[in-house]
Amino acid sequence: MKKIAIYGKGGIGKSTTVSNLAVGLAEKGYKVMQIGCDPKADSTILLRHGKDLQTVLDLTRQKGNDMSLTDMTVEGFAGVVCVEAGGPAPGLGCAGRGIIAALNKLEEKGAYETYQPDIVFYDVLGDVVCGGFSMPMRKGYADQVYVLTSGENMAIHAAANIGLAVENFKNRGYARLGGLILNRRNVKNEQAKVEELADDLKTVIVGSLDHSQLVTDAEELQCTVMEAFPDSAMAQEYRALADAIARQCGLED
Amino acid sequence: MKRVSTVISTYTADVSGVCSALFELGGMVVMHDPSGCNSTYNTHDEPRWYDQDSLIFISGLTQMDAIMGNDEKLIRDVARAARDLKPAFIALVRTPVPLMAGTDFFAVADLIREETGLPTWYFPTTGMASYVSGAGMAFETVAREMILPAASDKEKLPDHKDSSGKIGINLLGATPLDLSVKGTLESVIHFLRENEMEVLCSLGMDSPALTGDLADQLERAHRADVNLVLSETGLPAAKLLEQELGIPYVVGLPVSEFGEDLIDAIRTACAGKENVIACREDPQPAGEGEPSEKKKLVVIGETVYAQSLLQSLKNRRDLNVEAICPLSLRPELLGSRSLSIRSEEEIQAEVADADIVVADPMYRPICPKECLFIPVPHEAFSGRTFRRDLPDLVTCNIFQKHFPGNYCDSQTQVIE
Repeated sequence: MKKIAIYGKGGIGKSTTVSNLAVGLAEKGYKVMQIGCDPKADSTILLRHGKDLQTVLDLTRQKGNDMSLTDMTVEGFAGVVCVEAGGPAPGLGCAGRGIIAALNKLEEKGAYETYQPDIVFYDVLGDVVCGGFSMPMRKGYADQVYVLTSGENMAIHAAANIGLAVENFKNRGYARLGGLILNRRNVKNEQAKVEELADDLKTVIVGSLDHSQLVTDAEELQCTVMEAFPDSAMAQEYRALADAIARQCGLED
Repeated sequence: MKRVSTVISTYTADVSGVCSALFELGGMVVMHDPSGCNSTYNTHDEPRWYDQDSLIFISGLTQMDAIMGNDEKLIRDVARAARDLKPAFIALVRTPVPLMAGTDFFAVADLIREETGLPTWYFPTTGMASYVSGAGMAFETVAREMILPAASDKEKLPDHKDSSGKIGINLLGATPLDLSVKGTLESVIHFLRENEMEVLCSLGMDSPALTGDLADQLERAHRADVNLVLSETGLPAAKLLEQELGIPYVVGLPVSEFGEDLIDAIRTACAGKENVIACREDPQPAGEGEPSEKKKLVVIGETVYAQSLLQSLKNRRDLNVEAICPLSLRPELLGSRSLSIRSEEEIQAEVADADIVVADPMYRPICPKECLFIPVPHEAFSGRTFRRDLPDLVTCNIFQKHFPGNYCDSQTQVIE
């Protein structure tokens, strides 16, 4: 089982990318689990076509320990197992602590043993804002971290911060940086800026995704590009990214 | 409101349980906490505090440390103290503050281990569970980290068992929280010795009655024929040693007349290599000649002690006996006359029709006024409040005064 955490600036397209990537890997025959680590609980929405999924923390609040693993999972498109950690209402509580509690609960309920996924994605909110949001990269969770970025300055700044956090945690046995994923926004010198960032972080760009209207169109249809437009060039880009990630994390040679 | 206690006390928490189990083992125990957990421990839960040295520390976690995630300070302080004090191991104990802050203790323990080169263990206590859970995980870790390695070192393995033919026994689950320091442990050791058995190791609580210090005892513990579990805190370690070394375990405290049965149980376990939960046997199986009217006797207390005490009453057919085990974590230890109920409300309801109640004095207010209340203080419930009245649980026949006759011999004491 390979565990991967995806970080990046808020709004950069992490959930969309992870969902398409999950389908790409599922198409290759892998069992994939996608865990949304964001109080908004919308990471897997494109995989489940709007079908309801109660978050782990909502279930914990309502039922305590009297819940089963199936209460907190939904099988999404291409058999991807969908989970949403959830969190407090905006402005209340502690979302980071919520991520810790939710991931502990999933482990306690035997999620990994039961579904035996080949690959688990932790789709993590924004930047590493506190200890709770570094939970997916702690020992025993993700093996690798990938950072999604565009060439926009704020996205690069966030990616650099995440890269530094990973570096700071390396003596703790945390996840290592697997690479950057370039999600193009067509800004000036985009490729060069992200290559420079990769050099600074001593890592690689594992894949690039073009800015495509099809992504928005698929979202309108409440599904992934892989499902709505499987023969499109954009879908091919996601497949290429899936191949690269599978190689990079050791699933394939 | 079921979990609210408005009248009775609460049991010692898991943080103190870890400290109590590790107190005499030569390690450095660090409660990661602002302060508070330490004073509860040394003021109420640890009778050895003023008489014996031990490296028990509080980290002095501050608000800013919690906000800034300043784990480095903890790591630095622990490493520096360890360099000066040279403990045998380091134990990090979680308390509610770092629990809420989500501190990554696994990583902190790894870094301290790397920095000091010392075995470093982390205990995921919450401050909200009882000492049975905390001491249980501490004893299990000591068994894994200090007994198993000695067993795997082939040079230290004896070629044969004790040539005297005595049954070698480890005592598991001894802490002052259950046994206090009023001679119970020594009485257990003497009682076993009188029955041609030899105690090799008393895990966590040393005794002048034993040869060698605790390090020596841990070194030879793997040679035991049987592990005797004196309280529920010893069960996880017993299970581990059974699984890894094939040593069977017996559960029970040799309280008064139950001692003879316990000796039989140890011999059975030793001969058949099977575990015996002696304290959970039905003390009063249905039989002929039952009296038409029976008095209800309820014992409230630690799972092994309360049930062992019931066993000592097995000949009293005029009593309807029952144990309430508020600390019970493992149903497998409970007999048919035992209840695992925790709340003040439930316990009060259960004893409402009792004629006789045996319990810590702090249970008295929720027991019927007209019942005969026999006080047996329990350090983990009332702390030092009644420490001077604590009996030797093994030799003191608490029923003698109330049921004279066939319940004590000339060696026993009587609680007044």
